Amino acid sequence: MIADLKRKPEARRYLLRMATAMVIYLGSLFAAEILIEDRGLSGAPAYVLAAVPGLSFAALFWIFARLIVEERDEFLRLLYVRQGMVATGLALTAAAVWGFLETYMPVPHVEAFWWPTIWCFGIGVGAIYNKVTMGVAGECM
Amino acid sequence: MKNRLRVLRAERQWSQQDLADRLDVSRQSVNAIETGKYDPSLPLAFRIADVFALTIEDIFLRDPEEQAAQ
Repeated sequence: MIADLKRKPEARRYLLRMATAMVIYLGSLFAAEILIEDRGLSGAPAYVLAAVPGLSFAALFWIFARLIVEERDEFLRLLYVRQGMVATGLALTAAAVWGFLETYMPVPHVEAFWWPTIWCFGIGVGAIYNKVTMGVAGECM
Repeated sequence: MKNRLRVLRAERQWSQQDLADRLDVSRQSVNAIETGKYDPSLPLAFRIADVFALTIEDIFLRDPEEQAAQ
Protein backbone atom coordinates (compact mmCIF):
# COMPACT_ATOMS: atom_id res chain seq x y z
CA MET A 1 0.00 0.00 0.00
CA ILE A 2 2.86 2.40 0.77
CA ALA A 3 4.08 2.08 -2.83
CA ASP A 4 0.59 3.02 -4.04
CA LEU A 5 0.53 6.31 -2.16
CA LYS A 6 2.15 8.32 -4.94
CA ARG A 7 -0.35 7.33 -7.62
CA LYS A 8 -3.46 6.44 -5.68
CA PRO A 9 -5.48 9.28 -4.13
CA GLU A 10 -7.81 6.80 -2.40
CA ALA A 11 -4.85 5.27 -0.53
CA ARG A 12 -3.69 8.74 0.54
CA ARG A 13 -7.20 9.64 1.70
CA TYR A 14 -7.40 6.36 3.65
CA LEU A 15 -4.19 7.05 5.55
CA LEU A 16 -5.11 10.69 6.19
CA ARG A 17 -8.54 9.73 7.51
CA MET A 18 -7.07 6.95 9.63
CA ALA A 19 -4.47 9.30 11.12
CA THR A 20 -7.19 11.88 11.90
CA ALA A 21 -9.39 9.25 13.59
CA MET A 22 -6.42 8.04 15.64
CA VAL A 23 -5.63 11.59 16.79
CA ILE A 24 -9.29 12.10 17.85
CA TYR A 25 -9.31 8.69 19.58
CA LEU A 26 -6.10 9.25 21.52
CA GLY A 27 -6.96 12.89 22.29
CA SER A 28 -10.42 12.04 23.64
CA LEU A 29 -9.05 9.10 25.62
CA PHE A 30 -6.41 11.33 27.16
CA ALA A 31 -9.02 14.03 27.88
CA ALA A 32 -11.40 11.51 29.49
CA GLU A 33 -8.64 10.17 31.73
CA ILE A 34 -7.73 13.67 32.94
CA LEU A 35 -11.15 15.35 33.10
CA ILE A 36 -13.33 12.44 34.27
CA GLU A 37 -10.93 10.20 36.18
CA ASP A 38 -8.63 12.82 37.73
CA ARG A 39 -10.74 15.98 37.92
CA GLY A 40 -14.16 14.44 38.51
CA LEU A 41 -16.05 15.86 35.51
CA SER A 42 -19.67 14.70 35.77
CA GLY A 43 -23.10 15.08 34.19
CA ALA A 44 -23.85 15.38 30.49
CA PRO A 45 -20.39 16.66 29.44
CA ALA A 46 -18.80 13.61 31.07
CA TYR A 47 -21.17 11.26 29.21
CA VAL A 48 -20.38 12.98 25.92
CA LEU A 49 -16.62 12.88 26.54
CA ALA A 50 -16.75 9.22 27.64
CA ALA A 51 -18.57 8.32 24.39
CA VAL A 52 -16.10 10.05 22.04
CA PRO A 53 -13.34 7.36 22.12
CA GLY A 54 -15.98 4.75 21.29
CA LEU A 55 -17.40 6.88 18.50
CA SER A 56 -13.89 7.04 17.03
CA PHE A 57 -14.36 3.36 16.20
CA ALA A 58 -17.40 4.32 14.11
CA ALA A 59 -14.98 6.48 12.14
CA LEU A 60 -12.72 3.45 11.57
CA PHE A 61 -15.59 1.43 10.08
CA TRP A 62 -16.65 4.39 7.92
CA ILE A 63 -13.05 4.88 6.73
CA PHE A 64 -12.77 1.20 5.81
CA ALA A 65 -16.11 1.33 3.99
CA ARG A 66 -14.99 4.43 2.06
CA LEU A 67 -11.77 2.64 1.09
CA ILE A 68 -13.85 -0.15 -0.45
CA VAL A 69 -16.18 2.30 -2.21
CA GLU A 70 -13.42 4.58 -3.51
CA GLU A 71 -10.99 1.85 -4.61
CA ARG A 72 -11.03 1.78 -8.43
CA ASP A 73 -9.29 -1.59 -8.71
CA GLU A 74 -11.99 -4.27 -8.51
CA PHE A 75 -9.62 -7.02 -7.38
CA LEU A 76 -8.24 -4.91 -4.52
CA ARG A 77 -11.85 -4.17 -3.54
CA LEU A 78 -12.40 -7.92 -3.30
CA LEU A 79 -9.33 -8.26 -1.07
CA TYR A 80 -10.55 -5.47 1.23
CA VAL A 81 -14.02 -7.03 1.49
CA ARG A 82 -12.45 -10.39 2.39
CA GLN A 83 -10.32 -8.67 5.03
CA GLY A 84 -13.42 -7.03 6.49
CA MET A 85 -15.31 -10.31 6.56
CA VAL A 86 -12.45 -12.09 8.35
CA ALA A 87 -12.22 -9.22 10.86
CA THR A 88 -15.99 -9.15 11.47
CA GLY A 89 -16.22 -12.91 11.87
CA LEU A 90 -13.29 -12.97 14.25
CA ALA A 91 -14.51 -10.10 16.45
CA LEU A 92 -18.15 -11.21 16.65
CA THR A 93 -17.19 -14.83 17.29
CA ALA A 94 -14.79 -13.79 20.04
CA ALA A 95 -17.48 -11.57 21.60
CA ALA A 96 -20.10 -14.34 21.48
CA VAL A 97 -17.79 -17.05 22.85
CA TRP A 98 -16.49 -14.85 25.65
CA GLY A 99 -20.02 -13.67 26.47
CA PHE A 100 -21.17 -17.25 27.04
CA LEU A 101 -17.98 -18.07 28.96
CA GLU A 102 -18.72 -15.11 31.27
CA THR A 103 -22.30 -16.30 31.70
CA TYR A 104 -21.52 -19.91 32.58
CA MET A 105 -17.92 -20.00 33.75
CA PRO A 106 -15.77 -18.09 36.27
CA VAL A 107 -13.74 -16.16 33.68
CA PRO A 108 -12.67 -12.49 34.04
CA HIS A 109 -14.91 -9.80 32.56
CA VAL A 110 -13.69 -8.29 29.29
CA GLU A 111 -14.65 -4.65 28.66
CA ALA A 112 -16.81 -4.25 25.53
CA PHE A 113 -14.39 -1.84 23.86
CA TRP A 114 -12.02 -4.75 23.26
CA TRP A 115 -14.35 -6.28 20.61
CA PRO A 116 -13.90 -3.49 18.02
CA THR A 117 -10.23 -3.52 18.94
CA ILE A 118 -10.19 -7.20 17.99
CA TRP A 119 -11.90 -6.21 14.70
CA CYS A 120 -8.91 -3.95 13.93
CA PHE A 121 -6.58 -6.85 14.75
CA GLY A 122 -8.79 -8.99 12.48
CA ILE A 123 -8.07 -6.67 9.55
CA GLY A 124 -4.43 -7.72 9.92
CA VAL A 125 -5.45 -11.39 10.12
CA GLY A 126 -7.55 -10.84 6.98
CA ALA A 127 -4.50 -9.51 5.16
CA ILE A 128 -2.59 -12.67 6.13
CA TYR A 129 -5.55 -14.78 4.97
CA ASN A 130 -5.49 -13.00 1.60
CA LYS A 131 -1.75 -13.57 1.27
CA VAL A 132 -2.02 -17.26 2.20
CA THR A 133 -4.97 -18.02 -0.09
CA MET A 134 -4.09 -15.74 -3.03
CA GLY A 135 -0.27 -15.82 -2.93
CA VAL A 136 1.48 -12.83 -4.51
CA ALA A 137 -1.86 -11.50 -5.75
CA GLY A 138 -3.16 -11.33 -2.19
CA GLU A 139 -0.77 -8.63 -1.03
CA CYS A 140 -2.66 -5.43 -0.31
CA MET A 141 -2.49 -3.62 3.03
CA MET B 1 -11.87 -19.51 -16.15
CA LYS B 2 -8.72 -20.13 -18.18
CA ASN B 3 -7.09 -17.34 -20.14
CA ARG B 4 -4.13 -16.60 -22.45
CA LEU B 5 -3.05 -13.47 -20.64
CA ARG B 6 0.43 -14.69 -19.72
CA VAL B 7 1.16 -15.84 -23.29
CA LEU B 8 -0.15 -12.63 -24.86
CA ARG B 9 1.85 -10.55 -22.39
CA ALA B 10 5.01 -12.58 -23.05
CA GLU B 11 4.58 -12.15 -26.81
CA ARG B 12 4.69 -8.39 -26.30
CA GLN B 13 7.49 -8.64 -23.71
CA TRP B 14 5.40 -6.82 -21.14
CA SER B 15 5.88 -7.35 -17.43
CA GLN B 16 2.83 -7.74 -15.19
CA GLN B 17 3.39 -4.14 -14.09
CA ASP B 18 3.48 -2.96 -17.75
CA LEU B 19 0.12 -4.58 -18.39
CA ALA B 20 -1.26 -3.31 -15.09
CA ASP B 21 -0.27 0.26 -16.05
CA ARG B 22 -1.97 -0.11 -19.44
CA LEU B 23 -5.15 -1.37 -17.75
CA ASP B 24 -4.97 1.11 -14.86
CA VAL B 25 -5.18 -1.72 -12.31
CA SER B 26 -2.74 -3.11 -9.73
CA ARG B 27 -0.04 -5.66 -10.49
CA GLN B 28 -1.86 -7.95 -8.05
CA SER B 29 -4.94 -7.84 -10.28
CA VAL B 30 -2.98 -8.93 -13.33
CA ASN B 31 -1.32 -11.70 -11.32
CA ALA B 32 -4.68 -12.91 -9.93
CA ILE B 33 -6.30 -12.97 -13.39
CA GLU B 34 -3.30 -14.70 -15.01
CA THR B 35 -3.20 -17.42 -12.37
CA GLY B 36 -6.97 -17.98 -12.58
CA LYS B 37 -7.56 -16.87 -9.00
CA TYR B 38 -9.85 -14.08 -10.10
CA ASP B 39 -12.20 -13.68 -13.06
CA PRO B 40 -12.43 -10.04 -14.16
CA SER B 41 -15.71 -8.17 -14.48
CA LEU B 42 -17.07 -7.68 -18.01
CA PRO B 43 -15.88 -4.02 -18.21
CA LEU B 44 -12.33 -5.06 -17.21
CA ALA B 45 -12.42 -8.01 -19.63
CA PHE B 46 -13.30 -5.55 -22.42
CA ARG B 47 -10.41 -3.28 -21.36
CA ILE B 48 -8.04 -6.26 -21.48
CA ALA B 49 -9.34 -7.19 -24.93
CA ASP B 50 -8.85 -3.59 -26.11
CA VAL B 51 -5.25 -3.49 -24.83
CA PHE B 52 -4.40 -6.61 -26.83
CA ALA B 53 -6.61 -5.59 -29.78
CA LEU B 54 -8.40 -8.93 -29.57
CA THR B 55 -11.88 -10.10 -28.66
CA ILE B 56 -12.73 -11.36 -25.17
CA GLU B 57 -13.19 -14.88 -26.58
CA ASP B 58 -9.63 -14.77 -27.94
CA ILE B 59 -8.27 -14.20 -24.43
CA PHE B 60 -10.65 -15.96 -22.05
CA LEU B 61 -11.41 -19.63 -22.63
CA ARG B 62 -14.51 -21.35 -21.43
CA ASP B 63 -14.05 -24.13 -18.89
CA PRO B 64 -14.60 -27.44 -20.84
CA GLU B 65 -16.71 -28.85 -17.97
CA GLU B 66 -18.82 -25.72 -17.88
CA GLN B 67 -19.27 -25.88 -21.65
CA ALA B 68 -20.24 -29.56 -21.51
CA ALA B 69 -22.85 -28.82 -18.84
CA GLN B 70 -24.53 -26.38 -21.22
